[in-house]
Amino acid sequence: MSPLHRKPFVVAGLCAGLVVGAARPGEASVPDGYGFGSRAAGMAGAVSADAVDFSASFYNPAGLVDAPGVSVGVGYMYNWQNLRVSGLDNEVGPVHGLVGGVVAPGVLFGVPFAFGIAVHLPDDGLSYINARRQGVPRWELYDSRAQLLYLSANLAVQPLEWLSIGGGIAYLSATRGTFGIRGEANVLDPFASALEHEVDADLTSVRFPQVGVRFQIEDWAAIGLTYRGESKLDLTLSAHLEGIVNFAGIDVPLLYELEAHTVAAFTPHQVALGLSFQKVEGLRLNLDLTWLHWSAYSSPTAEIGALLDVKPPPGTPLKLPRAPAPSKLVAPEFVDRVEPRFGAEYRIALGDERRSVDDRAPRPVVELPVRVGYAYQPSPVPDQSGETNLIDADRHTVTLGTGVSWNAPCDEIAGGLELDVHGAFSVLPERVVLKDNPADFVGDYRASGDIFSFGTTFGLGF
Amino acid sequence: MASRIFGLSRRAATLAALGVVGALAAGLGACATLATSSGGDANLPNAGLGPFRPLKAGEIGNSRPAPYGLRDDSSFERDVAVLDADGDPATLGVVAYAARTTFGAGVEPEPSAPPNEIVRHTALDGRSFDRGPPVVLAPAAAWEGGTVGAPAALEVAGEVYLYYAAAGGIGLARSADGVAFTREDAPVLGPASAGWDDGLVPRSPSVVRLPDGSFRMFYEVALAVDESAIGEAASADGLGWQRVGAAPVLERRPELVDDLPAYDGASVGAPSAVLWATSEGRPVLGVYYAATAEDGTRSIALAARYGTDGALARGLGPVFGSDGDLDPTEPCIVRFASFALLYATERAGSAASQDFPAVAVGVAPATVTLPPPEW
Repeated sequence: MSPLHRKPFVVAGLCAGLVVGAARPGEASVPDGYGFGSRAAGMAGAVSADAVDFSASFYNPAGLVDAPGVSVGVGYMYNWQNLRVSGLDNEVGPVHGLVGGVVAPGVLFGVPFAFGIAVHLPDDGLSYINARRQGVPRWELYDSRAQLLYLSANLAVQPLEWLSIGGGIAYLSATRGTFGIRGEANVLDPFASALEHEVDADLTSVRFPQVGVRFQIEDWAAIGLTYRGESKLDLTLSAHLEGIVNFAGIDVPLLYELEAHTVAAFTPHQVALGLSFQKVEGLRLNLDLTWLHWSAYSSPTAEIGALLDVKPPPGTPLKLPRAPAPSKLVAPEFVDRVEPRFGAEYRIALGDERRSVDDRAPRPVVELPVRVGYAYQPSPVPDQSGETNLIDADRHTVTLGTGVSWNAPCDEIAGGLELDVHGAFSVLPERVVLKDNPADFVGDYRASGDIFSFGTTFGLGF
Repeated sequence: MASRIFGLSRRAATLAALGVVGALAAGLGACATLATSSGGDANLPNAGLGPFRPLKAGEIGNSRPAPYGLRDDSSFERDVAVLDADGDPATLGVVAYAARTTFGAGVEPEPSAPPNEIVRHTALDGRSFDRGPPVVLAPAAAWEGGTVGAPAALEVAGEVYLYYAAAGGIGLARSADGVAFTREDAPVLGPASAGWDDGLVPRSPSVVRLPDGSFRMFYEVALAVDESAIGEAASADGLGWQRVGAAPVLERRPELVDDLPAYDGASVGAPSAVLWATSEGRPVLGVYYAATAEDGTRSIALAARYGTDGALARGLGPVFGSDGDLDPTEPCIVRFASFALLYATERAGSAASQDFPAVAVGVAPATVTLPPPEW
């Protein structure tokens, strides 16, 4: 039991506020937008054909089986987002969190196989979603996509020397809940009110598949092909307020029901084709082309249904709020896109080569990798000339990366120690939005921005 | 081999396990259960056209009860026309012309009585209007039928043009100082002799001056007891007017909109025209108006067009008063540098004792913080 100090309509407003505040659209997983691990991020994510560390759990699970040994990686990344509309900073929050994973290769029935897990953990919470009303401007693909936990578990096998196959499941977190108040509220004597309230919410998960194949061509080229499934979070929250409000001795029965449903954190079907070449000793050149099925994008607007049933006695001077009108959603009509990514890595060898384990190729004592990359992500969002304001723009990203590898420092660490760092700078060129309706409450605007990223990853190979 | 795990020695496997556990512990330790907001809500684009929120206590001065800039239960000041005093959007000083009703000695004030005076208020902050305003116009001509009201004011070459509604149509009075007005002898827009509003008396005018120097008027015509429509007229000099089009420029929408009754399904009226340019420099002519839905709900709405001619496109929803029962009407908008103020006539409150007209003030964007009141 708890006292209520407010009029019921305030409570009803709180219910609505809770529902809307708790449901917010994220749009895709963090690895999609900001990279996964410093090596991959330093090469602009163009690693579908050559990722063999924990990042393979995202880029191409088939690569896990090519890992030289058991490895563990952990890292951190931070992305400052300076996104502007008509020259003013919209204060879109930074994206940051821990990344990490494990790769464990082995042999099963004479066939090489591997197990890998990878995770992105937002370091200020597991999940944050916010659903805005239709028409409210928002940076659709940037403003809350980082606030979701991403977890992936995969298996890979190598049935042929030139063929690796991998696949697994990725998870995103979701929320579902109810909120209810019932009892009697006395407006003039709030401490005489007797109300019961209850909140019931679950943190559930959604899963989507991912599979990959990798073809090794001679010893200088590889082709990777990865499919990542579509996922979206169906978020539902309902509020129920039922009771009697006492207005100076007049009992007024009240019933308020509200249900909000939104689809958030949409991640489209993706198919990535990756090429990797290493014709020159120490130099690797990669190209990725990723097709994203953005046209399946669901409206991020919350569908809200509300019922307010109050029967005040005739003559009661009671002003009742109107229940919100049901929202008619406008289809977002996103467009499928192909994103090209280029990456290059040159490893500078220092010291003599050493062989840590008999079946592994000898490697220099120390290597200093230098990485560069470029990615172009054309915006899938159509011109926002109508009712919606899903702000977005094309994105050009230039990346740099480096690090140090200390190979086979001791018998127990037969692989080596690796410390990688990366930085990236993205530019979102100005996009002009002209409204069809001169009475549009938002009006014309220009959107632009830039994003600066930094991250580091530490790896331990056995 | 039993002593090896994934091909690792026990010692190496132990190191690997410690690495995994350490990584997970670091991750979980850094995570809070609840995430903070991701932001993104600052400086969002807003054309400042609405929706307007009523002013709150503390946002209006001179002992005016928010959201009312004018609230007089004896003369019922209402239907204001507000001018930016110096034409500079960066300053907030305004001049407001309001209709009111003066009753003779011993006569009980009656809110539904037609207005018989137009008075002039000023406000340094755009909303805390002064008291004791001078009367600038009262009925004098026979065609006015003893009533003047619904003023519309604009500055033209150093003069104030004051259009007003009277019994016989729309009149015009002009003044060099904004206080002493000289009226035209006859209405500048009387009942039409043909067309959709044949014989009907125009009222509630609003006039803007277009970039080419010509004038454009929007006015209300009563088509039935509870239904009105908005007409449009054009003039080269503000004196001689010709009606535009063969139909109302805006009329009620009886049809469903997105499967719901329209907010202006029963009636439209009391237009207030405003000119502005979008942030990309596209000129817009907007008309705020009083909208009445089929269920009797009244609100203030907006329709607009790019340029000066053509059909008016309605906004997605009302801009003011749609969540209350105070029946707003007779809007007037003044756009300042970073926000706009809406002045609308509505009931002074929900109680029976407050069933008289007053002038409420709203602001858009709703998130704006107004400078302190000044009077």
